[in-house]
Amino acid sequence: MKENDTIESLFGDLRGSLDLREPAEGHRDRFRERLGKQAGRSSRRRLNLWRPLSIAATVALLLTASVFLLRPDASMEEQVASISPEASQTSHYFANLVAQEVQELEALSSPETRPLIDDALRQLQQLEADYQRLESDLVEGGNSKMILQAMINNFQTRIDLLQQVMEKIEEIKQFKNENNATNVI
Amino acid sequence: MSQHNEHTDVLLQACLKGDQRAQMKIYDQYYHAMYNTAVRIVKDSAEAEDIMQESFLSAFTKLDTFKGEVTFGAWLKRIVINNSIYHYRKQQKLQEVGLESVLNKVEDKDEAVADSGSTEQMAQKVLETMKQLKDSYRISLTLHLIEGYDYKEISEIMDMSYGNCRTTISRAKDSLRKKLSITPSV
Repeated sequence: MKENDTIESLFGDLRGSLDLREPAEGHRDRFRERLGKQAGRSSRRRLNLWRPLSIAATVALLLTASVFLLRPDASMEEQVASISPEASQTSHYFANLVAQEVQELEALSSPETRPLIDDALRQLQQLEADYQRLESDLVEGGNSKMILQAMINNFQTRIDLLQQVMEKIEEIKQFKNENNATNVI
Repeated sequence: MSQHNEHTDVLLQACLKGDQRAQMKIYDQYYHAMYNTAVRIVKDSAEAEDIMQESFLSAFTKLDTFKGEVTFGAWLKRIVINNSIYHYRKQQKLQEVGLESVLNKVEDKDEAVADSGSTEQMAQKVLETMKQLKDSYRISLTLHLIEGYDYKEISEIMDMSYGNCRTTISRAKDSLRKKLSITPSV
């Protein structure tokens, strides 16, 4: 251990004085030349970057396109809008209305009304599925006048359904209240 | 010292933008230390110059990855060492015996005999003696005693286990001490 310490202390003494060698003359010029070459190479490399970039862009484009093609419902709204902007606007309006009504219905949920509401939601789902079929028919170029009429009817049916359910729920509530009232009396 | 660092930082910023004048200034500042580091590992002077310059070029190319956790010099030196080790391994595979290494051995004898009067003569003697050690001894000692890396770092650089690294360095020290014929100081 002590012996090795000698070596350590020797190198400690020599620290900083061991860089005795010098590269062969002209090393600076040789380096400058290599530096210049590298600068040329890297600028060329920057140009070559366009190739992978354009490939990446193409891939991205194809991916987006395939996403739209593979998920027709994603683009369905847009496609419908391009065929009939009015129909798309109307459907937006109705969809909002239906969503609102459904929310109200959910708020009225109680043990007595729950089966009624569940049934209504199931029927709404059925109507929604019908509506989607109509949309794809429209996009595929069926008789647009009839299809548009059917689409509006579909929404009308949904709203009617919801209103009927609301009325039923109101009746149930009133019936309950009256019952309670008679019971109290 | 801090002014010096600031100056280097400014130069490095310019290097990042590909300013060749700044790159030459950095080269001038560091080439000597880097060349000596390389030549201590690969021995051959032409190869050491090639490695040193190659390391500068790759340092400039990947300068954006230099985060300043260590000094630029330390960062650059690590690149030089890694490249030197890489070249040394390649050399070893080819089993090349360059003319220069033969010539050096002839020279060595005269210089090693030269008495150690001044620090420079002593340094010369130590370096020449280290050249006579076997490669793994020379390289591990260089990294440990001159470059100041610890066992863990050296085992990483030389791709050997920690224990193996410790043993190698310890034996290398023994061997160097014998060759220098230093008697343990009392």
